[in-house]
Amino acid sequence: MSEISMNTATNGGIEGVNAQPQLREVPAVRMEAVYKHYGDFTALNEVDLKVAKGEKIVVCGPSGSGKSTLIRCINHIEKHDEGLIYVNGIELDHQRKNIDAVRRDTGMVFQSFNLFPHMTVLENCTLAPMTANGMTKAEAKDLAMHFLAKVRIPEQADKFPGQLSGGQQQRVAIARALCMRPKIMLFDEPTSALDPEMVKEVLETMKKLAEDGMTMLCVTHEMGFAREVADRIVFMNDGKVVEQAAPEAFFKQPKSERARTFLDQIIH
Amino acid sequence: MSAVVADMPKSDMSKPVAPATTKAIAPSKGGRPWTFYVLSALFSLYVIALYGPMFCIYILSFQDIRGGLVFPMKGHSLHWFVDLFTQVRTGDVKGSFDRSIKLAVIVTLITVVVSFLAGLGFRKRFRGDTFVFYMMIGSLVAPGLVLGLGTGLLFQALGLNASWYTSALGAQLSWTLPFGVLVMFAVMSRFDLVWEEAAYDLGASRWQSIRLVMIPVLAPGLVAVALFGFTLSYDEFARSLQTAGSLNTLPLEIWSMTLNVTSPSLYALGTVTTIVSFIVIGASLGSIVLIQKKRGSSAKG
Repeated sequence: MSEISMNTATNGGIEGVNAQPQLREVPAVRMEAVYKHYGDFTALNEVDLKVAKGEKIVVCGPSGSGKSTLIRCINHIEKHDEGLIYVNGIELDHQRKNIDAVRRDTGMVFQSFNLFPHMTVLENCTLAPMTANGMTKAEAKDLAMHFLAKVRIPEQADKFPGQLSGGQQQRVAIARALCMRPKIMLFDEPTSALDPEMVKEVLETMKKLAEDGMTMLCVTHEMGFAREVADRIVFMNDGKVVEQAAPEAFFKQPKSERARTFLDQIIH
Repeated sequence: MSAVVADMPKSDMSKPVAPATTKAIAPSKGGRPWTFYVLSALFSLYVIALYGPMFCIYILSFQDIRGGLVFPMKGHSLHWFVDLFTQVRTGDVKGSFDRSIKLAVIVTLITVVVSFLAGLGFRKRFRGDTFVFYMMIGSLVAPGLVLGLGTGLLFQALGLNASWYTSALGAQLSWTLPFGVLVMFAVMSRFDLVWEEAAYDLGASRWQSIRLVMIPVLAPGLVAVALFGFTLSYDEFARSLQTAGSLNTLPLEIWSMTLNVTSPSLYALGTVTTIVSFIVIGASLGSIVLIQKKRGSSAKG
């Protein structure tokens, strides 16, 4: 219950959010007491998290705190060991058909872009719609060009990833994920591998996506982006969700000592 | 190893050896240090020692009918090439060539498939992986003749007929598989797991991610493994000697010809087999370059 009341409080305080989370709706993501171990290391330690549809979450925390693991469990690229994860009401219970259904609903953008190096930008975008969704080539191409235009890179459609800058590659990666018409976008440190001058173009693209009402979970160290776009900041440490708060409250008055020291370190 | 090197981005190799800039740094005498000339002389000698003997064979194979097995060269014609394929006494060249090519193709296919699967398997650690690895590499160290002899004996003991497509195939695989797996490990290390993760996130099944992402990305490396398998099998001698049974492969045929054929058609055969080797190598490297070029690998990753 506390989760829900906080959502309301959060969204009440923020302006410019188009899609107001609906309380009665099935949450986009629901995690209950999720654990993930790597050998002796506990990457996720009893994590509870609820994300409403249309909500924008920024996950932050020191390195090794489990933030990447958290969002990688949501599309089952990492398998959680214990606990329950529901994505749009579908339980991730290691059943193939549920995993496939969840992956249809989620799109992921990785730190290192992960574009297929042997395909052109266009082919990168059309591959999955054609093979996984059974679109024809022409349909897939229209769709891809639509999203490539959206990330403002349609003129590069016939180039190979190796010929693009990092920022351009990351925008293509966003377009590629969007081509699967996901309901939830997961961003795993999308700007960490970029040269500073390219960070902005990627963040702008993400902002536009947020304005369109996409449900987003972003692991990022871009606190400016968090302040501007996030409905809620999730602060993690040692595999636990230590603190959740609206950006204003989080940046001004972090409740936990750990969050305070973290913010001191990253905000100069 | 040239295949593996050719697999790398081109830019590493085609860099000019600092032409004008060195002069600017050391303007006094220009030119290169004396060590450059010593090393080039050494390298030239090495190349001559490497290819000289082979060129002797190629040159002598173009003599006319009066030709003998040693210099000086007597006339020039294609007589001995014709002789090679028309005369029965020179041996079963056509048949053994045919067998060798077929065997090499079979060995290549098995090597590529098994090495690829081994490469997939060894991406994650598993119980006993080190042991399996050393068992595999062990057969590289075993002397080929002994291994071939053992294979032949085993077939005899089991009451099976030794032939080029059974026992010789097995003996050759004991040689090409460890090589293939080693090269495949190097190839696999360049496949980033992130591509697989992206494929899964986009809804690919395991098989789709292998077929649509992994194999195409690794294609140049797979060609390199295939080239290894083919050339190692095509000129394999030691392991085939006791296992090929009654019908010879090409290297065995050449060897038996050195014992009883005393005409330059032996050299003609050497020339022909070399040409075949170079065609195979050229086609492989060409296809690697073509794949790389198609991907516009000129830009940085």
